[in-house]
Amino acid sequence: MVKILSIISILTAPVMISSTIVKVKAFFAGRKGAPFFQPYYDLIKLFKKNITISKDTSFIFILGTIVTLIASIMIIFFIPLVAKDSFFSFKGDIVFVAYMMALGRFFMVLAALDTGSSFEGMGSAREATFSMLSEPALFLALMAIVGKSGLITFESSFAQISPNIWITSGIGFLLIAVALFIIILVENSRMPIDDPNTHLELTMIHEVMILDHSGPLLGIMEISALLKMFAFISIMFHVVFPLKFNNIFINFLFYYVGMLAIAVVIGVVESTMARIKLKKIPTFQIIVIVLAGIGMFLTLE
Amino acid sequence: MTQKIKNQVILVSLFTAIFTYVFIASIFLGSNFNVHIDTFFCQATGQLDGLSKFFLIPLSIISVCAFIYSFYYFPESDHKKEWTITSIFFPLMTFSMVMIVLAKNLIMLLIFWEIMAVSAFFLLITEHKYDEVRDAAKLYIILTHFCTFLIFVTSILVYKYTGSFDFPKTGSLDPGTTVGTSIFIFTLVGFGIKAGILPLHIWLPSAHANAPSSVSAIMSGLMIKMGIYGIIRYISFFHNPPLYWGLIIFAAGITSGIIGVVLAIGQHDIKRLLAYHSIENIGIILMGLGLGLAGMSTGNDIAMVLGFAGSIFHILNHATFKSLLFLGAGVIINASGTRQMDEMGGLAKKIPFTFGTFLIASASISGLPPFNGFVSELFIYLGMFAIISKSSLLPLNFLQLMGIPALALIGGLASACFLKVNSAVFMGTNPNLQNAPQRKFQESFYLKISLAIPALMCIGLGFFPYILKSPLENVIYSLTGNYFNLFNYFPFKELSIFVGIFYIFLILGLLVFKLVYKNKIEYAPETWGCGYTKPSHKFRYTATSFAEIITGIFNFILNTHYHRKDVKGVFPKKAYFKSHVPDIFLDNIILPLFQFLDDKLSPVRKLQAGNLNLYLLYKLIAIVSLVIYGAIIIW
Repeated sequence: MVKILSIISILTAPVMISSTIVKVKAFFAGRKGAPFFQPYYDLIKLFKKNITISKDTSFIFILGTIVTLIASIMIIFFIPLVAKDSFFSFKGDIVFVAYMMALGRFFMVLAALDTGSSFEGMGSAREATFSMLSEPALFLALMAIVGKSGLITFESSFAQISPNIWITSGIGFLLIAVALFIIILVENSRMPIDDPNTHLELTMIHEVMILDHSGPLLGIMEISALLKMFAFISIMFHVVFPLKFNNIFINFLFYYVGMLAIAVVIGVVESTMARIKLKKIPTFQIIVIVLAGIGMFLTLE
Repeated sequence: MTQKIKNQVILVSLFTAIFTYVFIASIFLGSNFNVHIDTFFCQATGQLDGLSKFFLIPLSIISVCAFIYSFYYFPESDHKKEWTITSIFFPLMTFSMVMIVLAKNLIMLLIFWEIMAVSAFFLLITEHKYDEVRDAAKLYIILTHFCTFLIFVTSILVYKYTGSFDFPKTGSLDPGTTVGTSIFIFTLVGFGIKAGILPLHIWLPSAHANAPSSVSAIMSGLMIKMGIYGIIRYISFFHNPPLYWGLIIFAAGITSGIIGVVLAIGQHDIKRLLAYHSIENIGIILMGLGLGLAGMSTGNDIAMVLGFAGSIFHILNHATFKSLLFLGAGVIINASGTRQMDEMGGLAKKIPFTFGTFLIASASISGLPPFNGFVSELFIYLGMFAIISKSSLLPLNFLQLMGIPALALIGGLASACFLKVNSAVFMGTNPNLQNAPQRKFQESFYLKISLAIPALMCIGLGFFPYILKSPLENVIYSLTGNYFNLFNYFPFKELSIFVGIFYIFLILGLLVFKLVYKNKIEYAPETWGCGYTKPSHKFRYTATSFAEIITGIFNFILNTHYHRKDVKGVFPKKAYFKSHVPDIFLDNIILPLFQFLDDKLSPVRKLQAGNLNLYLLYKLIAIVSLVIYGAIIIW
């Protein structure tokens, strides 16, 4: 049952998260916003299209795009969604997931660079730099999540996070949650770091990397971005709302409410903050590393 | 030399390869043994325990690949001299490395160590007509002899301790004594020079960059591992190494890892960049080793087993992907006629096979999952994570608090660096390359074999690390004296399953994509570049600009020198931009120090006046004082 609900959530939640963010932003701007299921329509439209590829590219362009998607799918296997159990779990899957993300990023950047366009080079350089800096913070957060469970899996780590832990080492977990939230913003190219809406090459990070992806290839990139954000928000959900209910359907509902709450917060942050200057982002990220480090230290007993 | 002889050489090396593979098979099946031969100068004792066996795996495979490759790097028709040098010293160096690993005697180890060092020197100066090659060789020969000298001192200390030139039994020496501590220090510094641990690495970048690529491959893939072998072997003489040994090695590993990869990002020369990555990987190896030692001295079995296993595994992994990268770099340099990455580009279509293998190696060295680099890093990660659950000892917590983020940062930086390399070298277009000076160099069959074998190892070890389970257990046995079943510590089965799933998905994805969109792909003229009527390849983002933000962040380590003249005014004059990253230790510390010593010691040089009478007087003084000394002794 949990598996079926998890599959339902994989199919619906990523789009709902993204639509919620769009709706919140529209609310702040006084607009109505795109329909809730717009991302589905967009994807269907994209997959019907033909593909145009620059003749300067090599086989890496298509291969890289597909590897990006597969890496995002592999991540979802190991992260518990509706309940505390994931589809699969093995000792060390936390490291495996973190490195799968790195693999996806590596091939996404490679596909972007394959075009030889200077815009995409610019975006790739930023993506490579900022994700490199968010890696230590991510691992510090994961260390705090693993805690003393000893089994380095998402499943067992989330099983040992209970509301109790928020009482005993609340400050530590608060810092970790803040750090995780900022990592979500960085890794998914959200507002204070990257502006997903502008179409000026000089200001973009993620969007500029997929300039030359057309039709289905662009669709694949969109899907993998959605899945990645979904995975991150699921991790965040289990850290922030570590409540368990006996009824699986209540769990399911709670999960959706929690995810959408995080999405609303992201939307509010996006609507109320301006982009940080590009040169300031590394400093910002180093602060996040320090935050995560202190948080990690406070959760140690 | 004729084509016939060349083919014979290749046949011989292929037979050697087959022979070594049979030998490796026996390594996996056979048991340990000792040999004892009396020679005229010493008793040569050999051994084949778990550690030696493991080092023989990369030695036998990688050296054969590099040897085959070297004949295509120097086609003998126009490189007679280089051909001769390679065919004499290459096998000699490989042989001496095998003998170092087999030695069970301090003198035997020293003799073959020196043969290895000197033959590496001759291989390094193969292209001695270039100034930089000679400079690099000079620096190398000085430091390698300093290294030999320190190992000499270590050996004498061991002799003083045990009274025999044979290796002491594993775990027979006491680390608490002064002699024990000094053996540790001299071992770490002496072998550390060879291994390229960070402040001692100064010979490494220039030597790796200026040697022929096949030589760089075995230098980086195999020779610097001999330093690690020495450290591991000499430390294994002691029982219960104190905690601070592990911590020192771990800290050295972190600094080498981070500073090595940061220095690599700043480089413009592809081979120098790869050389700094060797320092980084030595750092990862040392992190594993330090973790293992720390686990050993605190009785944390999980950290010990996973640390040692990760460290040893990474030695093999680094040997495969780094030699593959250097071999690939050789092809790249020949195809583009330069070593500067900013001047390359668009090679993906010209040398597709090299591109594929180079990409596999790049992903492996960045520690990305389906390849082997990830497996050894996973070992070390698991070992560090294990400390959280097991203990609350402060020094060990330091290990994980520093170690895990550091390893993550190293991984991130390495992947950024290799994205830079791949994009600068292979991607985009570069019409200038059509006119580049080229040697007769194509992706011939044998060349492809020499690239394919390490590439297959990268894939195979990443997919099925189980194959190394018993060799790794044997190594841990020879270090600790206990057998540990690695199954209890590492998820071999699950890793293979999920990597397998990844490959299945990949193949399915590609097939579906091919089938559905086969007729829907059209290739447009070229990448859009803002609609300029005459787009130029110079619009491309260069390697330097790709790394600019990262080098900016780490400028406190890199200390980049910029030489620039900006575009100014309405009618700008010619502008230029150059940047150069010095080696902090060599250019900022060592060379100024020696300059200072040179200045201060100049009065001493007056002793060497060039006057024969004076020299005869020195001799007389020497003889008289010796006679007096002898007379005193006899009395």
